[in-house]
Amino acid sequence: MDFQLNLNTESVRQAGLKEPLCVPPGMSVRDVLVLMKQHNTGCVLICRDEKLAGIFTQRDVLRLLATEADLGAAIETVMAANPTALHESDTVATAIREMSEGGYRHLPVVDAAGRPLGLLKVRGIVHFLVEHFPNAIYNLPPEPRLVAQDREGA
Amino acid sequence: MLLCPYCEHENIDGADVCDECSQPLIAQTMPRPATSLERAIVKDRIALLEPREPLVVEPDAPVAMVVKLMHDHRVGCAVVVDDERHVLGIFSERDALMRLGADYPALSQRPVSQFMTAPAATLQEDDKIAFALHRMDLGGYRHVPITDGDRITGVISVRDILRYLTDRLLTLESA
Repeated sequence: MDFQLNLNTESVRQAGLKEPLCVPPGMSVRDVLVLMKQHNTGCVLICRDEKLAGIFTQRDVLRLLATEADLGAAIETVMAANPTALHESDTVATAIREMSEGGYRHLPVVDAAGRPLGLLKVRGIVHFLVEHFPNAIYNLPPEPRLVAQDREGA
Repeated sequence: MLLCPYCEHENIDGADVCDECSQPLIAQTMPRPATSLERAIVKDRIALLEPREPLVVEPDAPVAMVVKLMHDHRVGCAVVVDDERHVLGIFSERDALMRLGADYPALSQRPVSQFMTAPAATLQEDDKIAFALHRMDLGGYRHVPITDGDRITGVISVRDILRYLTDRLLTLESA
């Protein structure tokens, strides 16, 4: 009950926003792939005039590789344009619902003018939840099925 | 009643060690799950998430074929198994990006075993959901293969966990 209250009042900021990697729309897919690898991130935002124009994630990478798409093309031709975005005032509950329903694992957070403020990853949500269940999770034994065969000393 | 987290033997309240397996229970007598949701994740088992039929591939399958299969089946990971369905590793979208990426055309005929994450962290259907949450948080995994003994039976993704949590929040709300 109190947890529900938490989810509905805590803003997405509490779930740990990451600094997004922004690239211009004209950058080639190949350069974006190299950049994602360098920054070890599964998601880039495509920004035009500082405003969020699209999102490109590792799911799109798989699609491009599977269809043997031309890696020299501009990123704006393969990105998801006008992606679902959150506002800073949205709650964690909203973010979980969006991710669960849309199957998204990255949600950009934008300000009123559409400028990206941060990136919410599903990993941030998982970590937020784990921190909210300290008793249940941090007290787990290290392995699920660690059972002594016999009583000690027997 | 105090449930031993190691062997699940029911001990009397306040026991210092488990009657059955002698593991210390002191940590269990102190903190209690604070909310009904927290209680639910240590009670509910992974079977409740209905693990999906996994996409399984052989270790020497060319990575191009695996990528294509993942795309056609619309899944984010393939489980690499041997002849007897023992899990050798897991190949995910993440691996496709980090280990192939822009070099894909040159590497696409290499076997998937060169690019998979191994060993993969696996769980079993009767493990608690809390374990899945913990594994995903620690390792940053989005997929966990589910095994019976050491044979693959399914795979759960972080999306299943989110779905479980939102369902659970709704039922707890209406209860």
